[in-house]
Amino acid sequence: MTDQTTLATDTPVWKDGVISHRGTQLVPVSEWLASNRDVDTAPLLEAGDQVEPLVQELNGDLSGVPIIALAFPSFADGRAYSKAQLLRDAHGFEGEIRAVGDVLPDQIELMLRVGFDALEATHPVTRERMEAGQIDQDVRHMQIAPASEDEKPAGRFSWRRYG
Amino acid sequence: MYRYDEFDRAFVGARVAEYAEQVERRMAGRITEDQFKPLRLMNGVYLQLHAYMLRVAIPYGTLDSKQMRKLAHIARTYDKGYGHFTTRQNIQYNWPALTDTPAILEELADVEMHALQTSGNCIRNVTSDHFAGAAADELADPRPYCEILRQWSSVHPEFTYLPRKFKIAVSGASHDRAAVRVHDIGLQMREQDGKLGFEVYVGGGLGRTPMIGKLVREFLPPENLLAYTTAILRVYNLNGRRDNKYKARIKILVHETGLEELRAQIEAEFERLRGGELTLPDADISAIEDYFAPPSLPNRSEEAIALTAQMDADEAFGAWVRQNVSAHRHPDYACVTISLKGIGEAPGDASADQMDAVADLAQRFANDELRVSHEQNLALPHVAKGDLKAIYDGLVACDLATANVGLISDIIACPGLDYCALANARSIPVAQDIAQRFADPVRAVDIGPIKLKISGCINACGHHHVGHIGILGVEKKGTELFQITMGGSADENTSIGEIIGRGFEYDQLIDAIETVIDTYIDLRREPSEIFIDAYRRVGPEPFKQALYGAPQQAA
Repeated sequence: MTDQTTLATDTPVWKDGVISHRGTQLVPVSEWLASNRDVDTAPLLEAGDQVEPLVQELNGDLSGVPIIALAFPSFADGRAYSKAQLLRDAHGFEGEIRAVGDVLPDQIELMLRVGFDALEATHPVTRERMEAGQIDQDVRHMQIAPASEDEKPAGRFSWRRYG
Repeated sequence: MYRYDEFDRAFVGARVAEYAEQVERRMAGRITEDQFKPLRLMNGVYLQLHAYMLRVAIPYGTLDSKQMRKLAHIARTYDKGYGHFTTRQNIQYNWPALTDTPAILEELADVEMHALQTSGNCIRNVTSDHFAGAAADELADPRPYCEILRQWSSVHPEFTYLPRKFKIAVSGASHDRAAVRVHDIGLQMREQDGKLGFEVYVGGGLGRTPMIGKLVREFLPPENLLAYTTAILRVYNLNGRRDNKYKARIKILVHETGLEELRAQIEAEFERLRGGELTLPDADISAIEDYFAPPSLPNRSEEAIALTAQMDADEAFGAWVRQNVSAHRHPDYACVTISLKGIGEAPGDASADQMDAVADLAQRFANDELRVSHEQNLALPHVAKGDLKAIYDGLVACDLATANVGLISDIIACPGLDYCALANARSIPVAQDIAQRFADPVRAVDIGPIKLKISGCINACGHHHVGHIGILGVEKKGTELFQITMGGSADENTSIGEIIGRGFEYDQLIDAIETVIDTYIDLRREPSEIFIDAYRRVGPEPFKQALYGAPQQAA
């Protein structure tokens, strides 16, 4: 089920430290695939939607998709983390991956690490932090970083950091 | 054991600071209890029946004397002077104030400990054999792999909001002391063509729907450990059920998807990941193995030979050695289990003074190494046989010398209605009463090895499904009722116990357990035929008859 607020076009979007009110219309992925895919629309995968049907429908070429939005119907539903990781690693998607919905500020770090690079959050504290520029993009963690963060030496497994 | 480097220190420090800020936000009413819940759970803080409970991780149950003294200090300073060692090789404090929890986490960080991922729907503390690196029957030390898994799973960005909690256990010995087949992932080390690797079991678990893990891969080379584990977790995270928390564990996904189909999905994901960044080169594995290098154990054969005479000279010491000491790979050494099952005590509880005393013994006589077992006991993995008497005397002095490891009073019990918000029935008092009933050590030794496990509700934290005798407390018409299961086991021959018949009220229960035991004594072929073997030979019928009368008389 889609929270209608997540689809409103005037919700502020955080990307790379900048807040914007862009007009991209997020459309449920099945509708988006059936449409003529206007440049100001983007597919939204609800929590129950898998990545593969979208990839298959586009014959594995995601280069023409500027934004893929992944829904968080609740902070506890973590399926979108795996989807973002798959889009980046398995399918080489280089466009924007936007987290949409119930995003707690404490989860943003995890989102950035699996490949999300934009947030459209309904949670008020998250909104405040976005607007106050308090989103920390440089955090310590144990795991190997996604490909886009390869240059960060601290992103290695801890026992590899000196290797 | 593993030592933190600068990175680990900063990592844990940052987590403590983050949690302190979250507690502040909660105290100021900036977030609701619902929103705070996943955050506190990520740091091991539960809300129980009477108070908050803090669960501290003891990675794969290994710790040193300094860490044990810190646990004692926390019990003394922030709790009521004791702690409770759990079936997941952790320790729980039952009475901390929420506002003290950030300070406790800071104290823990001083000794390289934390409470990360001891709760919540994430990858939990990886558990292992409490005699890892010491036992005579061990193929290889599983702890380096446990540590690799610990680091890999710590605040994992993809797997922190899983459908449900996720437990991994690793065993490196032929006798499974880590219960790997009742974990979400169980890794059993074995050798193939002269190379070490893992048998991988998936979808084991207890709780409301007990299931034995299925063999999903017969041999996994260590270099692929993280790639394959990631594949399993990813398939689970994407496809595990989220509509019903009681059907959200991976065991249900395995059951509903079917092993063959799920294996195909896992293998497909594994193919994508194999050979990538998650590959563990030998150099990485050996770098971690260096932390677990075996201690220097000089030959002390003359003292080892003298042990028999010492045992003959002191009967109580002899009984303790026979019961609580097991074989070390070095013939002059032994593995000691310290029973936290004193007759009439709460299973797994230790006072701050006892923790300090055990820390002293470990430091003086046991290479400064301590373990927590999943059976809620402590262990000293490397003890020279010549030092056993000194250890024993030290344990006598702090009331921890009960010679009952593996016997009927060595009971696993969940906290039950005395602490837990979920419980339907008491379990600690049941354990205490059973231990009292079978307090005669001669009788207990005659009964022989037996696993008795008690859960106070169907969530099965006391592992009753895998007890040779299991007791499950339920609530019926406002009173506690106890079901008895029999035939369960959690070792290399894992089985789920069967309910033997209608339940018993509290005041009939101990008699019923005694009836079961007397029936076993009567029907065993010889004293060496232990309870579970006899049960597997004869089945439930003789026990049903003894408990409920002949079948034709049963209602």
